[in-house]
Amino acid sequence: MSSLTRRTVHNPQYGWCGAPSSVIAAVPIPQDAVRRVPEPVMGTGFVLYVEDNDDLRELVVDLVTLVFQRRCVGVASYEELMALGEDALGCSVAILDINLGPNRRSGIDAYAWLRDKGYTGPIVFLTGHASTHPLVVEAQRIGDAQIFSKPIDADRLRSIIERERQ
Amino acid sequence: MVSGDLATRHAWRGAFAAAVLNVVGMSVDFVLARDIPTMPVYPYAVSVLVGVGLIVCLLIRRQRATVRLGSAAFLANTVAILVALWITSGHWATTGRPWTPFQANKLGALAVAMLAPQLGVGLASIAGFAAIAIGKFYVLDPEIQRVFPVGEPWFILVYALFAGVLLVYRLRGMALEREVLRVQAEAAAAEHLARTFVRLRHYTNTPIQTIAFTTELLRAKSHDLEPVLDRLARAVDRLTKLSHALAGYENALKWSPGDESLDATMDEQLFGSQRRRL
Repeated sequence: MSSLTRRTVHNPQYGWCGAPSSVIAAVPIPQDAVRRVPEPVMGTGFVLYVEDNDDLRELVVDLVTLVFQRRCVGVASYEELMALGEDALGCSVAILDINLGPNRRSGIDAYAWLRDKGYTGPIVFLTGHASTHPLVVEAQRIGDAQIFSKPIDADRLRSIIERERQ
Repeated sequence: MVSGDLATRHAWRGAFAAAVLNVVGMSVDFVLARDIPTMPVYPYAVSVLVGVGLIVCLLIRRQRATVRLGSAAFLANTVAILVALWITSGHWATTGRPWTPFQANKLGALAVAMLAPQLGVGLASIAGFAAIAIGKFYVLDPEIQRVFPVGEPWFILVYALFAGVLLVYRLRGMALEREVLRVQAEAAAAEHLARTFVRLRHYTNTPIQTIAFTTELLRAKSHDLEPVLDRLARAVDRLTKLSHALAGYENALKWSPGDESLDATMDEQLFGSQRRRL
């Protein structure tokens, strides 16, 4: 457990996203460290998960961290992703929810941002929308990103995360 | 207007227009015939009164109109006109003045083709206009018959034939129009249903995903809960199958600009009507 690292990013709308759940609440993390983790702590090789649904995002962070034994950073929006800056580029795989909420930048914007910043790792879209939804159609046009439709099972999530290792 | 049904609307409008034409036409005919000493007033008066009565009746029943009401009014109006024409045409024929026979009958037959609410009523009315003209011709004095233009009264049959064809053509066009509207309404209802299903699917996918991952997380943390979590996993599996089944409606859906942000009104669209009922 102690080797696992979690990082939360402040979301002015939803509060503290990716905050420790009761599962790992016992891990002593100083309040200052939660608000601003030193860069080396985040490092590289983590799973980046962009999802606007607080419950699902925190759950995936917990699942990946506790069950799959991988570091995971959950962010709720495109703005939060940008707030990570160059740190985000250290992820080994980026899982992006396509629709990040009404009237907000989408997961496709997050994809474009990552690629623009020079991220070359795998990017996977996760969506609950219909395959004919305009945002999903737009995501399908992106050649180097896979799209998975919610709900997926834990094994599929594991295979997505482990793929870059193989 | 009358009601949502197009046939009812057409029937009401046809009967109303026929009654108005009766009032106007008979009034004009009366003015034109005022110099004929033997011409009685009562046929015009009765026909106009029937026309006015039908107009009032139709206006009163406007919100509760039916095809049957429109047809009955149309038929009553036609009978009033035919009785008036039977009486007045005889007087026109005996004036000795130049007269084009059965003009009103020919005009009436063509008007029926344009206004009759139903095929039976229309054909009966056209036949009535033709029969009145031909019948009247044969009850006139042979001396009067001889001064009729060549071909009369049989020209009325040509008019009746044309009127019959026009009537059938018009009613078939209206039937086709109603069919197109019905199909369009069904297509709109089907798309609305598909949209609802797709929205429902989108609305439930993230909660199902949350339950599925929660199950796996709990399974990893506590082996004592295996039987319970197995049941939960089976429930999630069934919900996932439902989600996949609802995905079949995606192809029936046409996305339009602005639909991308449907989450904003998802609650209202899915549950708004239910809330309003409560």
